[in-house]
Amino acid sequence: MNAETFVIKIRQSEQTLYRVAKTILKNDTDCEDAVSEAILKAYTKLNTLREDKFFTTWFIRILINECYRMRKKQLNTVDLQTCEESLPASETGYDPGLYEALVALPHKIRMAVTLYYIEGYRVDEIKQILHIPAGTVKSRLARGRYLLKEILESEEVL
Amino acid sequence: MKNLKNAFPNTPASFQEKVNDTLNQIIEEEAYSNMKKHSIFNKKVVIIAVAAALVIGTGAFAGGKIAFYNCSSSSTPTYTSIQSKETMQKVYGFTPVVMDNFTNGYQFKSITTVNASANDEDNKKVKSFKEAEIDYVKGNDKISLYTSTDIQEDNQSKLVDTYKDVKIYYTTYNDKCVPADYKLTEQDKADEASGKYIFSCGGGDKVKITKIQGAAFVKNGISYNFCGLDSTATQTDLIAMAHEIIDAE
Repeated sequence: MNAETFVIKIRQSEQTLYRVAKTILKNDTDCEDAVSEAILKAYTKLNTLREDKFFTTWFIRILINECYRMRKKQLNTVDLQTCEESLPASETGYDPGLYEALVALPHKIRMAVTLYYIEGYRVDEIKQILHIPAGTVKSRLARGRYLLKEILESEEVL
Repeated sequence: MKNLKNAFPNTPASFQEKVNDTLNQIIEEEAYSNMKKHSIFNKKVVIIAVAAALVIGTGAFAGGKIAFYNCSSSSTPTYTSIQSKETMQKVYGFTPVVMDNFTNGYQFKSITTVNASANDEDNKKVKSFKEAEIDYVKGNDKISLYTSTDIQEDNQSKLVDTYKDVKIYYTTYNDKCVPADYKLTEQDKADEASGKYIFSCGGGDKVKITKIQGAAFVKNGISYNFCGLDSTATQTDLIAMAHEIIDAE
C-alpha cells in the first residue's frame, strides 16, 4: 500500500476512528492524540499489513492498543465535568444519555458493542480486531445488550 | 427502543484537524523522500492536491525559497452549505466571497478545508496556511475555487484582463502526472522542453494526463484561484466568473 492509499483510507474511516477512540477515552483531546499516534505507528509498520483489504481492521487494532496505552498512563484522571464539557450540547440524533450508558459498560464489552452495533463489523471481523474467539465476542455482545437494557431502564425509572 | 448509533456525537472539527495534520506530516515526509530520490523533479514536486498551487503558486518556485507545496484535504467536504462570514473568519481567518451560483450555470456545491504548507529544498516548512476550496458544479463539470491569504508573485500566468482595477491572470497547460519512481524518456524530455507537458509527481502508480486551466486574481488581500481539471469551461467562462466575484465585493 502506498502513502496516497494509506491517507485516503484513513480519511474514509475518520468517523469510525473517532467512535472507537471515544469508546475507550472520554476526553476528545485524548482521542485526537491517540489517533495521531496510531496513524504514525501504522505508517511505519505498513509493511506488516498482509493484505490491503484488512487495512481498517488492522488499523483499528493499532488504535485500540494506543487508546489503552494512553488510558493506562492517565488511569481515569478525567473527571465527569471534563467529559461533559467535551461533548457538543446538541446535535441531530445524538443522545448523550446513550453515550453515558455505553461508557458505563465494562470496557471489554463496550468495544465489542461499538464495533458490532455502531460500526457494523461482523463477529468474525471483531474476533480478528480484538484477538478473541468468536464465542467470546458473542457472549460479550449478549452481556452488553443485557447490561445496556438494565442501565437504560433504570435511567427511565429515575 | 433507542438507536445505539446515536450514542456518539459527530466527529469534532478538532479531531479532523488533528488527523489532517498527522497525515500532512506523512505526506510531507514522503514528498521529501521522493524529491531526494528523483532529481528529475527538483523544480516541481506536486503532491496529491496538485490543483491548489496552480496558478499563482507555481510561479514562485524558481525565484523564491519555496521548493514545493504540500496540500492536503479530506475527501469529505467540510461544509455542504454556504457559511456565514463569522464562521469563515473563525475557521479560515478570512472571508472570501462565496457565490450561490454564477450566471453561466455553475452552482455552489461545497467548501473543503485544505491544509497547505510551503517547504524549502531541505523540506523545512517555510509557512503553513489554510485554504478554503469552494467547489462549483454544472452537470458533471466541476470548477474549484481555491481561496487563501497566501499571495505570491506569478511569472507564469498571463495577464488577460483588468476589471475594476483587479488584474486577472489565466493559464492553461497539460499536466502529465507520473509515479514517483518514473524515469523520463527522451520523448518526455522533448515534450517538457517544448511545453507540451508539465511533469508532476503523484502518489499513484499510473501516468495520467490532465488539462489544467486556471484564472487567478487578488481582491481585498484574498487570493482567488479558479481551477478546472479537464473542465469544459472556457477562458471566457472563468474570466466572467471572476468578474462576478469582484462585483459581489
